[in-house]
Order: sequence, then C-alpha cells, then structure tokens
Amino acid sequence: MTTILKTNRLGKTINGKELVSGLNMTINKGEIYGFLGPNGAGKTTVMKMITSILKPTEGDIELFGKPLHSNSFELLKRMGSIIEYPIFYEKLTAQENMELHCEYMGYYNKKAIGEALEMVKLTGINNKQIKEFSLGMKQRLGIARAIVTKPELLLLDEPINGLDPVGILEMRNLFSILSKQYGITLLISSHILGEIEHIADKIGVINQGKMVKEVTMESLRETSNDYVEITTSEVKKACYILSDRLHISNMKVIGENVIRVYDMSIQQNLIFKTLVMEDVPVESITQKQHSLEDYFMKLLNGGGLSA
Amino acid sequence: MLKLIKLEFKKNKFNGSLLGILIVNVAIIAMTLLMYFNFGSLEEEVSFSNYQEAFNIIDTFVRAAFIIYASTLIAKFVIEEYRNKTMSLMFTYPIDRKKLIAAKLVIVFIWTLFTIIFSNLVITTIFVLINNHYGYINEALTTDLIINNGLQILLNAVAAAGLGLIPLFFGMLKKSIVGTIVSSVLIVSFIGSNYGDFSLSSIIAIPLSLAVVGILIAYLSIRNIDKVDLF
Repeated sequence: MTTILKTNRLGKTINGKELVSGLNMTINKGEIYGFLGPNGAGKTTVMKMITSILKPTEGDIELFGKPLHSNSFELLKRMGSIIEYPIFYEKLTAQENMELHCEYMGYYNKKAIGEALEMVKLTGINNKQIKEFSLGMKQRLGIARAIVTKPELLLLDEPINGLDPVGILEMRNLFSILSKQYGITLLISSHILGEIEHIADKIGVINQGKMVKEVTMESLRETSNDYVEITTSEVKKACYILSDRLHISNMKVIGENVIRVYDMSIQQNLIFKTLVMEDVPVESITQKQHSLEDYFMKLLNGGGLSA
Repeated sequence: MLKLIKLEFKKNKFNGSLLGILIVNVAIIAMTLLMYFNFGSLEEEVSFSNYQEAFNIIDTFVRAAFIIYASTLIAKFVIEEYRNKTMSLMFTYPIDRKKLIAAKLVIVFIWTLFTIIFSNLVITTIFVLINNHYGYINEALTTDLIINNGLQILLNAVAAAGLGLIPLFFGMLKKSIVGTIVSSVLIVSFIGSNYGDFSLSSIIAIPLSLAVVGILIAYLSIRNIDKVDLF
C-alpha cells in the first residue's frame, strides 16, 4: 500500500505555545482518514502545516513519498484543500473564482468546473458574487474548488460546517464517491464524530496537540465491545444471580442501578428470564453497541481531559 | 510571470484606474496653473521664471501623486490579500510565493512608471500651450531643453517607480493599509524636498540608485516569504 502522507514527530510552537507536538500520522492511498479532536486540539494547525501555510518547528512531513520543504511547490499541485473556512475573492462570481483557481493550479480542463459544481449540487448561481453566498453555499463551492482539479490528496477541514442535514448527507456521499470512483485520498477533520464514523477508513484522534490514537475502523469494529445493559433496583442481588446461575464474570456495575454485561455469548432473553424468575425487578434491559463516540470520549478522558 | 500578471488583472478587475489618472492629472494641472498665475506675473523671479523650473515643479507634483497612488495599489494587490486571507489561498498554489508577489509588484512598478511619464507629457504640453498664450515665461523652448527635460523625467520616473515599492516594506510589517499609504507620503516628502536649484533628483546617479534602493527594500520584505508562517 502506498503511503500518501506521513508525518514524523511533527510539532509546531508559536510564541512559546506548543500547538502540536510529536505527531505521527500515516495516510495510505485511497483511504478516508478521519481526523478527530475537540476544538483547539490542533487539527487545523496540522492541516495548515501539510499545505505549507504554517511551517513545522519540529519533525517533518512526507507527501507522496517526498519530503515537504518550504519550496516544494510542485507537491501542492497534487492537493486540494479547504482549511478553516472557505476563502474566496468575494467580489468575483463562483465561476470566476473557479477559473482563477484552475489557472493558478495549472489545470485546463474547461469542463471540470461545471462538473465540480454539479457534484456539490451548486448550480444556477453563476452570476452571483461570492459575498451574496450563504455559509452553506460557500462550503459547497469550497469543496467544488478543492475537487475540481481531481487532486490525489484532499484536505478538508470541517467540511460540513454550515451545511443543512440534507447537505451533510450529500457531502458524505460525495466523499465516498471521490474515494471509491476517483481513488482520491481524503483527510477530513471534524469534531463531530458521527459524521466521520460512517465514511472513514482510519481514524486519528488528536487532543492538546498530540495524537492520542490512530486506528483503522476495521480493527475498531472488531474490538468494539457490545454489551447488555440492565437497569434494576437490586443491583447486588442481580449480580449474584448473574454470576451464580449464568456464570457471567465479565460485567460491570455502573452507577446505582445499572449493570453492564459484556459477555455476549449469553442471550438477552435468558438473562431477563433468569432475573425475573429470581424476583429481581428489571426495569429495562437493552443491548448496546459501543459507538465511536464512547471510544472517543474514553480516549479523551484518558488523555486527561474531563468530558 | 506574464500569466501571473494577467491573472492579477483578472482577479482585481484592474481597469477603474484610468479615471484615477484623469483626476490626478486634472488636480495637478489646476495646482500648477494656480501657481503659474500667482507667481508667473510677478516681477521678481520666484518659481516660474523659466521652463526648466516649471517642468521641475510639474514633475515633482506628478511623482508625488503617483508614488502615493502606487502605495494604494500595493495596498490593494498585496496587503488586502493578506487581510482578506485570500493570501492563504494563493499560498496553497504550486507557484513560488516570491513570484506571486513579484507579479504584483511588477504591475505596480510599470503602472507607476507609465503614469508618471504619461502625466508629465500631458501636463507639460498643456502648460506650454497655456504659456504660449499668456507668455509669463519668456524663453524659447529649444530642442535641447526638451530632450534634457525628457531625459530627466524619464530617470525620475524610474526612481519614483522604484521608491514607490518601499511602502510594501512598511505595509508588510503589520499588514496594514494605513501603514502602507502613510509611509508613501513620508517618502514623497523626502524626495520632494527642494533646496533651491538643487533637488535630490537633479543628478542622474541619484534617481537610479534610489530606484535600486526601492526595489531592494521591497525585496527585503518578501525575502523570507517561503519560510514564514501565514496567519
């Protein structure tokens, strides 16, 4: 598998403040990399360093197998990006902005602009100046601009900001299409987990400038532990019965009246039946799945941040 | 480079400036004539005793005006791109950042050079025509005088175009439009200072070295542009 992006102990300190430190990140070709972290974790700083807008104070970045230097302008040709929020020449129209972008990128496929606008479902806006655009429209246009040159690597910093639910869904589909049909590698940052969970192949969690965990979704799904949650007023008795009658050892008492059973080999209705037979009042019993959200919160808490 | 310049024009819709040239020219003509009619008729020789002096005054006005004008162009082409954050877009393009800025400065330099020469030509011609009518300056307009004066205007224009880039340095310090324009006014007051017959720009070497200094200072402000952060 080809590595598209690799950072090696990447760090950035501005005015004595450490924004990012010792960050290792690897993105392979064709992957959708979900870059997760709370606000101010350093996601944007990392992405700015990748696009060479900020210069690393520590470590280095390797793009397409080549080291990124302050003068490696050619590498920038193979990337598309939206960093922070989409920036345009406000007095120009969408079409003019797109044309300028293509010219500067050295991309001369005339049809591409129309196609890109279509892909983000932004049509019929041709003679409007950007300053009349809503944030959602700008975001769409920003994505269109980033993909118009069919880059090998696409950096999208909070790309769904300002989009309505329908828009979010459309963009999510678009990202999948870009990845699957065009083989584009995507780095998408977000603080909204649910968004990335569904499309990402790999997740990198960053907190306080440090990479907390980098993990593929596949291995995450394998290790993710489902559990059965039982709510009862008689926790002690229930625990005793569960371990005595059903020989369950892998369980945990959460709070005053909740038990989580991690042993999934035992069926839920058997647990229920056994408890009821023993006169344990069961208020509810549900099967739950660890979502990425729990995982994320756990990681962040482990990192010393109170949720 | 030519392509970058073309794109700058496209981006900034740089065409409303013709009106600017016209307004500046009309203002300079008005000022010159005001002085001409006030001083020209006096017996003692004040400032419009001969063509050379008159041309010098016109040239000084023109250069002053267009050096300041140049600073507004620097503000528009460079500083505003920083302030609008569009520079962070520009810097993600696969183009040498120095070249990007240089393209903008070439526009400012050439534009300043051209407008100074053009305005001198227009205003001087109008002035000569008016003098022909009123005749306060009683001197033959010889070919020598025209060639000498033309050469001086040319050299001064080169100097002014170079000096006109210095405000970039001050503007870039804090990415400030005000800083850019104020520094240009200071530069104008420096080169515009006349000491009797001798003005700083009356010698050939001085204007040319001033142009070089201006370009160097402008270069200084973008020397490290590839290596610094963009916020």
